[in-house]
Amino acid sequence: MIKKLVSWLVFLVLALYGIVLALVYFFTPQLMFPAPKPSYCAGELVKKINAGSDIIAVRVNKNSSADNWIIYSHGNGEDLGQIDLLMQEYAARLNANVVSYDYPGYGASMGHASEDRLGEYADAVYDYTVKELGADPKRIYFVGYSLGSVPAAYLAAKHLDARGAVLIGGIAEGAKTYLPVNVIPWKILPNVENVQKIQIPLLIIHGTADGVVNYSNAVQNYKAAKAASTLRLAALSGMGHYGLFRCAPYWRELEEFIKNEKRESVELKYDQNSCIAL
Amino acid sequence: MIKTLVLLFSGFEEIEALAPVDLLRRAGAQVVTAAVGPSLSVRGRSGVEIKADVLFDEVKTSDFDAAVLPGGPGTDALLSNSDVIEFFSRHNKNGKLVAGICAAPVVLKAAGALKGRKCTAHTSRVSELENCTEAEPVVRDANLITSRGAGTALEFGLALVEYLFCQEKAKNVACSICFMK
Repeated sequence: MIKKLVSWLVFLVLALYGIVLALVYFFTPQLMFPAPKPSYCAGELVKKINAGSDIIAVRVNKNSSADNWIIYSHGNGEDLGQIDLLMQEYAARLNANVVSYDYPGYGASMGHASEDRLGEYADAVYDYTVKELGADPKRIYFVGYSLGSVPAAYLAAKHLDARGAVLIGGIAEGAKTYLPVNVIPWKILPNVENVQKIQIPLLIIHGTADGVVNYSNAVQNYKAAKAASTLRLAALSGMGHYGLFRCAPYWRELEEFIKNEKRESVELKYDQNSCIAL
Repeated sequence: MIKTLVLLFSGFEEIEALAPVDLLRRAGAQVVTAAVGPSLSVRGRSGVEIKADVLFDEVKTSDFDAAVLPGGPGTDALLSNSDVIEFFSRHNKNGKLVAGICAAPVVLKAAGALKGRKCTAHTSRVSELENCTEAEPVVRDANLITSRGAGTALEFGLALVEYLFCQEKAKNVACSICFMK
């Protein structure tokens, strides 16, 4: 009787696991790219560039006094309209020209985003930044937030002459975002493979109470980034996935990262009191 | 401001030329109609005479956000016009929107804009173009938009608005002209 019950339970667990795997397998693109309703209308505010058969909308926040460039890859739940003010703040506070873009299917971009092609989108934006906007490749930083950490790490691993990379609330392995262990038997966004190839200065900023991309992702990236010329992990204690830019250390770390070329590698914990309440 | 050029030439299809002009202007884009040849006045395939804004010769070296080519029986004469071919070729290379309807994709092919791209064209011309099918009224692939003929001219024009602005704007314009689909 008990034996039968146990075998039924095992069967049930396996069946549920199978259903979860099937859901993950078939719905990964929808889960990974839940594009919000477009929050802006393009007009002349954005440039449209080709990425294969798709169109990427690119916005440039010019800072005429700056030589530094930031290519900012946003998260999967936002578009250029929603990050407009943040990008203006980046340009002003970090004294840089900021290039941000929408993945296909987001905002004024066209097509369908796919995780396999995140690198292709990033390449298109990088080429546009260097060839059309005239950015000096040696003065480019790659900043990625959340899912944007994937194209950012991809570019950082590829362009050894770039100035630095920043991963904010970033991913180590896509399958480990919600749970610290991988329960999926195949790889989803194995970003850590690019992170370990990064040779330029790397800054990781992450909230320790992140419920969307578990903090263990930051630790895994930090441990893997042995090739980075300098490496910093800024842990924002008690902070989650959102609103990190309301923390003073978020800006302090970014400002110092851009100001100083040589910095000691260190793991820092910031108290939650340094973050302004929402 | 979004700057677009719609090319007019002797024997152009009136509906295919003017639907995009109308819809793009409603959307708020600047539309320059440019006449091929020595006169601002050009006669369409159905005998309607239109006065263009400028001569193509006067603007052929300028850059636009979109270069739009209508079809009509006069299209084939453009194949031997190197200025026209160069104009579309340059806009394509610069990643600007290049669009053609009806027989116009034949000219866009000569300008190298169809290479490796999905497209559509008029039933009578689609067999001359690889990767072109008649499955859809409008096909977009990267910065190329093609469409099938006078009957799909409104959808063509709305696709241009969507590309240059956004879906919401295209919807608003479609709504304002009682476009039914």
